[in-house]
Amino acid sequence: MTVNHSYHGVLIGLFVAMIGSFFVDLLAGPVSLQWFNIWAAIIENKASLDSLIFFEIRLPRAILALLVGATLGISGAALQGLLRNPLAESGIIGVSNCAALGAVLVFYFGFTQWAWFALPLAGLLGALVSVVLIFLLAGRSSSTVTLILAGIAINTIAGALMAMALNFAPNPYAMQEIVFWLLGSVANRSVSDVLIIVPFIVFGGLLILSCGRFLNALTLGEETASSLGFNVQVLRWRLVVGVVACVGAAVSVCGNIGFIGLVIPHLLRPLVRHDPQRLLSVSAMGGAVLLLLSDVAVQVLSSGGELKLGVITSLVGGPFFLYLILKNRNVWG
Amino acid sequence: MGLSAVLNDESLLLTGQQLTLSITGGATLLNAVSVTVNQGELVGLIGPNGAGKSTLLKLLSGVDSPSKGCVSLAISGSLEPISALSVRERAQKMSYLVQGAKAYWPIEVEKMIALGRLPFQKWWQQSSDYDQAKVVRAMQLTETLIYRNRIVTTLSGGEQALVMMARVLAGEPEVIFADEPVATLDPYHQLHVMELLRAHAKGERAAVVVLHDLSLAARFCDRIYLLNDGGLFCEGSPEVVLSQHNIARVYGVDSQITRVGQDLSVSPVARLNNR
Amino acid sequence: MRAIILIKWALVSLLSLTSCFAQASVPQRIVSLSLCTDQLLLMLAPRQHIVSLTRGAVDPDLSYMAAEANGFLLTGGNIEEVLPLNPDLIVGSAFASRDAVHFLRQLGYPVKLIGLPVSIAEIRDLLLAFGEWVGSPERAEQVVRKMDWQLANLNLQQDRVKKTALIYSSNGYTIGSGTLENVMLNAAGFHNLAVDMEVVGFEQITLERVVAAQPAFLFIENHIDNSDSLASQYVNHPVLDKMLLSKQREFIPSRLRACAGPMVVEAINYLYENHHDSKP
Repeated sequence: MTVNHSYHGVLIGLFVAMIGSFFVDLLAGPVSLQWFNIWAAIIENKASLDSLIFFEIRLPRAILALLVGATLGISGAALQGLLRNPLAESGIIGVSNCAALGAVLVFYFGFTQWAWFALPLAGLLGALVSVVLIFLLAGRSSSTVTLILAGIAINTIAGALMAMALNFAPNPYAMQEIVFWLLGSVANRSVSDVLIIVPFIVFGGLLILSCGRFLNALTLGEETASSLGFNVQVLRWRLVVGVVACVGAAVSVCGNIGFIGLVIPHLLRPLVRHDPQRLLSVSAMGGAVLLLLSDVAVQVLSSGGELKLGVITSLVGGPFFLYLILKNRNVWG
Repeated sequence: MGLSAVLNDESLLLTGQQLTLSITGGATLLNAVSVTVNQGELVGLIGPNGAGKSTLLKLLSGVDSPSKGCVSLAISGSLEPISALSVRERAQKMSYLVQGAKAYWPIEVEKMIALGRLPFQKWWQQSSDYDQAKVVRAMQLTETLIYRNRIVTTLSGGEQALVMMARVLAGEPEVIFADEPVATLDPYHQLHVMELLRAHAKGERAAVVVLHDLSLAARFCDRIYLLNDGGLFCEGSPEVVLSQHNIARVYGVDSQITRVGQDLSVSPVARLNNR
Repeated sequence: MRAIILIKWALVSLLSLTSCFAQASVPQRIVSLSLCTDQLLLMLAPRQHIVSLTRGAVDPDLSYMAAEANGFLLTGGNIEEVLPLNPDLIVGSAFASRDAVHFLRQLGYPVKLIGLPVSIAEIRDLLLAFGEWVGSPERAEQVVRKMDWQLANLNLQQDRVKKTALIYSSNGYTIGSGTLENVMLNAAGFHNLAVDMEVVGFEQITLERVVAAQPAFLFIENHIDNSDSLASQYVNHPVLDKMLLSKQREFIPSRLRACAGPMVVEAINYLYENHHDSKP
């Protein structure tokens, strides 16, 4: 079956959906805001209770949901294109957990004071370690079984190291907070959290987008891509650095929000006719939509905000993962 | 080595000199093999499994780099080492068809063939009308225009092989390097793919093909390189290379060689114990 | 097999005998398993009857009685540390070391647990009961009389309209009705907005609701100086500093509030001074 949508139509539709969910997320929260007051704050610079809640709490939350959702979507599409495997995703292959481990080490042991970029950089380095491990363990073959097994191993080790680090952290709350790092959340974040990750996400996103044609060429494998005029060694690293920069930064302030990078590229792939390059920007917007709507669900389901965002995305993504496994069972033997 | 040399032989298109590839650990996959390809030639690489055919093809096409030796391409009257070319320039002139080529995503045939135009587009460019015309021409040549909107992974093996050939032809390269393009095909599609390669290797263009079927090699190739154990065993016209003696020495089989019209037909008949 | 059962029986009867004996007279070897019972012991029991306290007892940030706690054996409250001390009374909190308490009771040791008082009257009852346990009821009555006198003489000028207040604590918890903290806020002349939000006991509330509540006084309680945790990010969120209509204050320090006792007077006074000082 061919789906006859034009690429630009899909782009525009998703963009509208993204902006729409962004505003719905801004509306969602325990306090109902008077929009007039916010408008007054923008126009007349007149601070009010509503504008305080809007600019200091809701806006950072919604921007983070948008940025992190876009990051997870685009990096899922990039990793799947690179490894030519629809099950490659930063959470499943252990990239997110390793990023969380890096962030935990910096966050709880007082290294955040060193530099404003210490936290996202630690996330980046953690993520980088995991990608190198994946290449060592699974090679660059597209064998799904090896990839998933390597992912399980890396996830387990990173999770255990994270628990150990939190156990030894000089802070009585640290151990309880493992839930945040494993499930992720965008609640109670401030403008400064947004500011420290923006450079990393923009840099990583641009690196990934610059590899679009390379991903198209990889449709025919690495050797063919090389013969089509792509420097595979260089471009592979460029893509990996792009992925770890944006995923590492996103995880370092929002924890490991799972499955978005798996679900979104899979759902959107037919809309761009399996074009790996076009899938990138489309997945970024789709990921943003899914995370924003998940955050709206969190706000609606729990007024206290104690429900973690990752619970919602995992509830959506977990069954979807099972479905993909069942669907591909025969292919993998 | 790095300097380009003025060509004396006008028809020379590509040379590989003393090509050697050793992998980390010490094993030598290919040992000092030299190859020349002239304009208008279809060159066959044959030899038993593990002889180094695919390795040689990857070195000649620039997909892999040799540990020692140099591959050079004739560019406007002089021989340039391909290591001095940018990967893009190289890709515009030489095209490589991997063994068992397949698409990893279920994309449309036309889109897959259009990937062959990637070396001609800058990173910000989309496919132009000119590119589109070349894609259509490649589909016409390979008689795959009827599949243009089909999903490539749903095609039969023979249809896929033709579509992969179309991808290579869409780039209009000077030299095509094809690794066992007919290994899994039925006789009809085997002949079709070989005819396409033969048709390409005309005028200023050439093709190098790895084959297992000795009769096909004898029938279509102008010259044959017989490899054995990482080295060159002998080289020459099909009549010279495909002798009962050579086949017995290299493949370890007794064979029956008959002449059918202008062509040789080679059929292995028995394994020899003294290989 | 028979022999083992016999020994067991003998052991159990011996233990119950000693415990009967111990209960009949004033306990001579008292072991404390919690920070609060440490403080009550130091206040009420004769020093020579106290065998061990917990490690927090000497920390002036945590314990009101830190100065008096010097010179005692300190434990982590583990069974293995407690048993060799051969106690004849073990006191602890009903909310801590449940497993240890259960085990100690099975072995026949007399264990007395204190609850969590949520009113001045309950503090009074607790002090008197504790006095009975450790064999100094007169001392307990004395402490209660002094506390009541101090409460009566706090001399708080109550405004006609109470100032609104809200407590915000690590991990986003606030404290509502049915708590001693609420009683103390009221006694110090505040109206706790968490009660209006129908918060009972300890509950998590979002930053948004804190901002929207606009308390005149926002009492911040950060249990730890170390701010490197997500728990502290609630109380360190920049929006709290931008609530122009709210004065931010630190909530009652731990030494006054880790245990419900006569220090409640000082705690109320601490809160009261917060809305009479002129700090912005």
